[in-house]
Amino acid sequence: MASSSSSLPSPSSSSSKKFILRSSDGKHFEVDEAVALQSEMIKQMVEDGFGGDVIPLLNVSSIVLSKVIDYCKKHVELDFKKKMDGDNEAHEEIKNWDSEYINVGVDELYHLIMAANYLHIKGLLDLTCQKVADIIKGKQPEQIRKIFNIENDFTPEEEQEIRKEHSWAFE
Amino acid sequence: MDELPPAIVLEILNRLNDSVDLARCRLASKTLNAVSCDVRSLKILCSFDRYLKSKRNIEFITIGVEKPFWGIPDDESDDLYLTTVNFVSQWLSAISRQLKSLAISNFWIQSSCSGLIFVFFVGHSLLELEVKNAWLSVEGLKSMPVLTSLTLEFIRLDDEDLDKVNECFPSLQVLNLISVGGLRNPRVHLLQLKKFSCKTNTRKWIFSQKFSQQTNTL
Repeated sequence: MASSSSSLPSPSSSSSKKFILRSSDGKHFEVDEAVALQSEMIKQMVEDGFGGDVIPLLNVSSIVLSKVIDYCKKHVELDFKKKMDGDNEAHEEIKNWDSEYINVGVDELYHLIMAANYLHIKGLLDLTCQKVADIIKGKQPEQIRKIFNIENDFTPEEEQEIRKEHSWAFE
Repeated sequence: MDELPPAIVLEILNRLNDSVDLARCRLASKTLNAVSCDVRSLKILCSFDRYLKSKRNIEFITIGVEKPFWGIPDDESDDLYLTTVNFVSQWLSAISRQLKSLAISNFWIQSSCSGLIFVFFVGHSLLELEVKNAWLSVEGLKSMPVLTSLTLEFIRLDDEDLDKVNECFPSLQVLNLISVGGLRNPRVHLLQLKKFSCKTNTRKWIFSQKFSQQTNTL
């Protein structure tokens, strides 16, 4: 059985090629090829011939990487299911799984965004950015600053200016 | 979160889709304020004054009457006459320079009692236009040379043979006419047209060419 770049990855297949990812704090994670290739960045590295034994991920800590791998694994599994069972059912399952997965604190969310951006995992980046937008919706500036730990770097005059300009938003 | 790259912050702000939320973000920090100027798509529930003050480079706009207004018999407020001459000349001349896509959904009862209406107006760069629930006059209609998609829905159109439409929108590729009244001997003469669909009770259509897709239901 060919183990190289098979186009239909089976999540349970033990014969598929493995990749080892190394987090910034030196921990190793062994993942199936299909899981690793969810990352466009890794895919590009492999295509360029850098995917030898261990792929070093300098910007992702082990805690975050393990969470990102969870996402990739699940999505490989669900993509596979989608091909087998048809779109509708899998779509619903992906939606439910995603919303459970992304139900995390702001710190974790921040690290997931940075990792998704660095690793180029579009699905995860979409999911995390949407989550931040959902958190922001309906909040006042003070609340937004507090939740995201943003420092107010306006002078009182500047703040007053913008407030005046957008007075309708603060009624 | 203030350490996120600007491209990501923009991605997040683009997903807010609401002018009030966006305004509140602008006040959170200088970074958010700066990035918010690049937001390209927005749902606006605001007055003309409010819009003008926000000074944006919006390319896609949907203007509509909020659902709660449906069923209210009449209202004197100017804000609701989305397709009247005043509204159109003020509002659209101010925003239309860089606009690429515009959808207007009017409040039918008002549009019909406010008489004949101009709606064809806007800038030369508009690519898509969608108008719903209005009574449209083509008198003084200006040419929109790059418009590729026109959708009219629940419209009374004072252009019975479509001559003005043919003349003013030479680049149309998509034309959707849904429940459009006022047509008598419509003749479609649009050389770029690729997709035509209509749901009207006009039985006889004359086409000067064939299209790849055509639906014509009564």
